Amino acid sequence: MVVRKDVVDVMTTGVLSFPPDAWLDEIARKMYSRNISSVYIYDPRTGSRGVVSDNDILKVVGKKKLEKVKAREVMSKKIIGITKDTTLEEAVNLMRIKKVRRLFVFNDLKDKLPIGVLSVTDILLELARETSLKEGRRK
Amino acid sequence: MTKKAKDIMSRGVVSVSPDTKLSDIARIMVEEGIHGVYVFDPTKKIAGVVEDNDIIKIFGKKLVEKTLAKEVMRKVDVKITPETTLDEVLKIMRDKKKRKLYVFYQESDLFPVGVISIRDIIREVDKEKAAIEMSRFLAQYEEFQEWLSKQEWKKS
Repeated sequence: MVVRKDVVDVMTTGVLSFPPDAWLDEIARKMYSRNISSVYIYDPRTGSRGVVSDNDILKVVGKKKLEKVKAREVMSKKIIGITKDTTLEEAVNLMRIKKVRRLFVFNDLKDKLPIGVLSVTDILLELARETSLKEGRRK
Repeated sequence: MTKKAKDIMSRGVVSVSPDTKLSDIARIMVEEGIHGVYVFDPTKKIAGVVEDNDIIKIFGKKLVEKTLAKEVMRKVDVKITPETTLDEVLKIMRDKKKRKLYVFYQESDLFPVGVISIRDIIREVDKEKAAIEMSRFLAQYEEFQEWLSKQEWKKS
């Protein structure tokens, strides 16, 4: 059953990260071309980190020019992380409680950079895969 | 000129019947690369939406292959028309915390003509940037053509 799986089996490995002084238009273009809805912000010198999601970009569109706003100005510092051996059920519960669409997966919660992302889409993909497997068996 | 909903919306929606299983909807969403489907029954006049979040909500509580669209679907509470301005669209999305708005010809319609999602807004940024780059390139090209014509003039 899907619920018993670990996060590491379902997550998307790798995370797209930008420095805090990246311009938003660049981030928006990358989001669109890669079909993702958020990027990780990480500054290797100071260790500061955050997330810029499509919602953060929506807040600025039409008010300021995106090529004049830096990631630092809109990013949220609230990074909701889980470890890779979390069960999918726990992860989804956390998503519901925190009302987020994605969780960052870390090897160790003290790490600065995640190893992957678990998004709503990853879970749908897993559900779709599992049900098509079952149907295959029935035939 | 200010942009309107019809300039940025994706035309057409993926619709399913109210009796569709959530497992099938999950598969449709993954295959089509979308985050929501429109639920519609023209004879019973049932209309609603199922979004990826609605599937996440029942995850681990009910089986997706035993839950039907009509059990989790929600009503469309905000309707916009193709003539709604982009500024208004942005305002509604921000104020109502919507990631997706359905576009109807008239407010009284039951079936939408298109959708505007947060992704369409992000794409718009991409398009604008491309247009600026293109115009810059064309300006350079014209300059070059001008220069070239002068060169030929010198030769002869």
